Amino acid sequence: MTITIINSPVTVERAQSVARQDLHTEPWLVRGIIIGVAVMFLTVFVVLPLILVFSEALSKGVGFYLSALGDSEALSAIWLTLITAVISVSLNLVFGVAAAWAVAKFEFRGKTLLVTLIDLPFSVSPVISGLVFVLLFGAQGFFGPWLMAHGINILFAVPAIVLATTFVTFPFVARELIPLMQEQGSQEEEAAISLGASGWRTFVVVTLPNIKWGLLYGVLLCNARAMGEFGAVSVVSGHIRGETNTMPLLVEILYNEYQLVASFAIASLLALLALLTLIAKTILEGQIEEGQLPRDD
Amino acid sequence: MSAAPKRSSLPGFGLSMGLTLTWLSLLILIPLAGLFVKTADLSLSQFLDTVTSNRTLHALRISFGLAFAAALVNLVAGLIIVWALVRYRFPGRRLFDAIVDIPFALPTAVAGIALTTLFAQNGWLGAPLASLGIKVAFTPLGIFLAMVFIGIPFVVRTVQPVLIDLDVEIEEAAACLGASRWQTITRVIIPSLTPAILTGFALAFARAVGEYGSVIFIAGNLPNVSEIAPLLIVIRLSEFRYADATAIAVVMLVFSFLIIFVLNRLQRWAQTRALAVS
Amino acid sequence: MTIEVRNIVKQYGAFKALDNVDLRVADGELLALLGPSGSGKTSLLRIIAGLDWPDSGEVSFDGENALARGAGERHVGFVFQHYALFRHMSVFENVAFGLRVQPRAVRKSEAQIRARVKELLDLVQLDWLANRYPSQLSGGQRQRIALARALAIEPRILLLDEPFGALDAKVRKELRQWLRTLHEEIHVTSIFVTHDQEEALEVANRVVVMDKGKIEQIGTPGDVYDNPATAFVHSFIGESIVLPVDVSDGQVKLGHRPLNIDAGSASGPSKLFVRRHDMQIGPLGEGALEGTVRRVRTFGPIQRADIALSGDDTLVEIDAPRDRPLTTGDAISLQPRRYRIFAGQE
Repeated sequence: MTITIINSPVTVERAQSVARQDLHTEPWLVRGIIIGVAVMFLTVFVVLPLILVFSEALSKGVGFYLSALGDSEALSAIWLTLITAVISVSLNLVFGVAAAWAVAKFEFRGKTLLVTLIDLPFSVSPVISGLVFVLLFGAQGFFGPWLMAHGINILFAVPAIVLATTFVTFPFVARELIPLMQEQGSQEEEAAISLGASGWRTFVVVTLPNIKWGLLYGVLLCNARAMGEFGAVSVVSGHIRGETNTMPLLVEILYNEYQLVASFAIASLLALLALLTLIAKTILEGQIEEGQLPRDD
Repeated sequence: MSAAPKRSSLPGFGLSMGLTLTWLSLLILIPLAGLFVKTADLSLSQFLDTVTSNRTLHALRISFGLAFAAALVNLVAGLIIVWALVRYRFPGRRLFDAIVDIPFALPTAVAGIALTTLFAQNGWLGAPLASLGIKVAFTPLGIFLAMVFIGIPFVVRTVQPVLIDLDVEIEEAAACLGASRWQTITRVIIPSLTPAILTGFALAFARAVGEYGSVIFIAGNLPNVSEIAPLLIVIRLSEFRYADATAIAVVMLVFSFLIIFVLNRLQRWAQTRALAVS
Repeated sequence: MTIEVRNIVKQYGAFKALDNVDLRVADGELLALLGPSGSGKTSLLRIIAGLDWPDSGEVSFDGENALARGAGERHVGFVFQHYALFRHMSVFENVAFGLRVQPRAVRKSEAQIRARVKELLDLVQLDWLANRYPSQLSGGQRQRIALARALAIEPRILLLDEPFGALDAKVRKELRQWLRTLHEEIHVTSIFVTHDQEEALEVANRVVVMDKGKIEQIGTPGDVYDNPATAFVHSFIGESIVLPVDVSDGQVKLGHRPLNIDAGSASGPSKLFVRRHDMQIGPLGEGALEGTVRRVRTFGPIQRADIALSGDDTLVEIDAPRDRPLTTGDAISLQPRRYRIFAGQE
């Protein structure tokens, strides 16, 4: 190499700043555009709708807002939503822990298939999730005539709402626990068993403390979805006012009756639930990571 | 599936597996199987007539076509968002990172009425758009936007961890070999992210196809114009045309299985590529 | 290509990674940067490559200011510690990458690129792996592919960051030999970073020993081993017996015991450095170290003994030929044959 560059200090400095700019990042203009687009996109599609929910809900003042929430139909919808969530979350909690134990602690053929089946409700349209129960329990369904003959109401009643909700929220807990427990391995449990602990005791004393944050996280997500599920519940509920309306269904009914403020008032409660879930999620993710740190060495 | 475990000193396999399989069968598998059994009530020609009737075809086309377009937008926007969140520091970054999950967490009915009000002709965004001659609410464009909304988290959340873990050395290697920044991004970084990007795309697509709550408010629900397939199922049900509803559902369900298959493939692909290199 | 580094300073927060470093590398040299982790050797390598930038100082290649150019324009081949192979590309495409990203005006034709890649894969003796993917290769194979990829752009300088660090001992030994031979063949000015002294001494023409952001010594492998310039080099390279001594009026004392050795220029509290095999065993007498043999084991031609020095019972390990067998309990004297005394005791 015999090329010489004229080393006037200014050009060197400029050349250096140009040269050193492009290695790990983009020019500031490109950076600005990318950040701008990302922020704009999220603002239009996420922030604005969220603000709108609360602003519409409060558009006629706090008094109106509170009276909309205190309405008897609203109260019964809130009550039904809570009941449904409690039942389906507890069912899926037990199932999720059992499924995660089987999948994470043992090797068996067809494991991938099992995990895929557990995830299935995620890929099924909520409407179809409701439809399958209509086909089972409806008047023209497989068990419909028998149920009717015995005077048992499942469809267009609380049991079907619970079933549909449980169907839709089925994967949440298991999905959260399986990767967590797989990563943690079985050594601690094996140690406990070899020291003479019973299986149940091992689970309670060794496994549970290790997975508690992941478990809580899964339960929270499951609960948020259970309270907010619309499509599946809408198909099986029958929309009987004061009886089979959950909060999301009431939102729809009020909206369609042009009771916009009341509708947004209920919606604001659900939005608040979503926000709280996200905040809890952020905190829990920190806890889960922290809990896993010592395992790395 | 329930073959005995190969080797494990831990107890509880029978109990946990039994519980899992029972619950899975009762709640998920039997009801879904019922769907297929019900379709068998229809003869093949009846089935074909149902799913190829004008209205059904149109609803399927709307759901699949718009969902595909929305997932494409999510792919591009998701990449931009994830790049900004992972690679740049700007005020409010953590907040924006957190709100990416809102479309996932917000109940669909709430999202539906909020988006409709936002894009209605007198809405915050609908009014300015209307003055430009663009009508959003109660048109296919509205459906499309609602589908974009619910698809936001998927690409971002699948690509984000991969981009964070991407070894900065490979970018330095590309730079040393004379690649421009643009070449490094398009030839090295993006291809490394491809399995994750496609996974996010497929998830967003699948979600948008089946989406109901956030779409029906803004859709307008005009048959043959802005009627989505899930809504048509609901309509057929309310008309007590169970077999018709079931036929549409089967088409959509088969599509779901296809997506699951593709996703499993993608995951295996990503895993074999990740093996041992780092 | 000669490389000249002048007054380089690089600081990360309060940590001074490079503290006024000067270095000249002659054309065709194979130079080792040797030092413990945190000594600044990798920082220096990255600055030469254009991956990092100094806070102040100059880097020039053949007299031309290198800092005015980005990493891509310096024509430097860089082999990363973890290889940084592109996992979505085949071995062939990895090696071809540097040729394919060239501006269209100077880019080679597809046929030329194929020929060049084949040539490089032949050079690293891995042409049969062309269609594999990085995840299907062993560590040693990845290392060689990374090298072939770096060589594809016909670099004027080859830089290697801990090239053998991630390999197991046997492969490491083979690759060392191979790298030396390869360098003789292609004769590109090369610098490699290592924390392994054996690697540096065995492979390099010249060794640069670094510690805490400064260069402690530059010399041939024989030089840095036989004539360590500083206490750090003496203790870092080869194994040394280190004893605290006191020097006054040219007299060296260990504790209260005067030693019959030359103090050189040191005075005050100092350190006496002796290689394990440079301790001569003799009968008890004046002016030597004395001690008792505590334990003896033999390795091939030598016997290694733990000696407790009389006085404060300091344990030193020495290597002695087997012609005069030692037994536990023997009282012996030790006379340093070759030694260095460095002032200061830290």
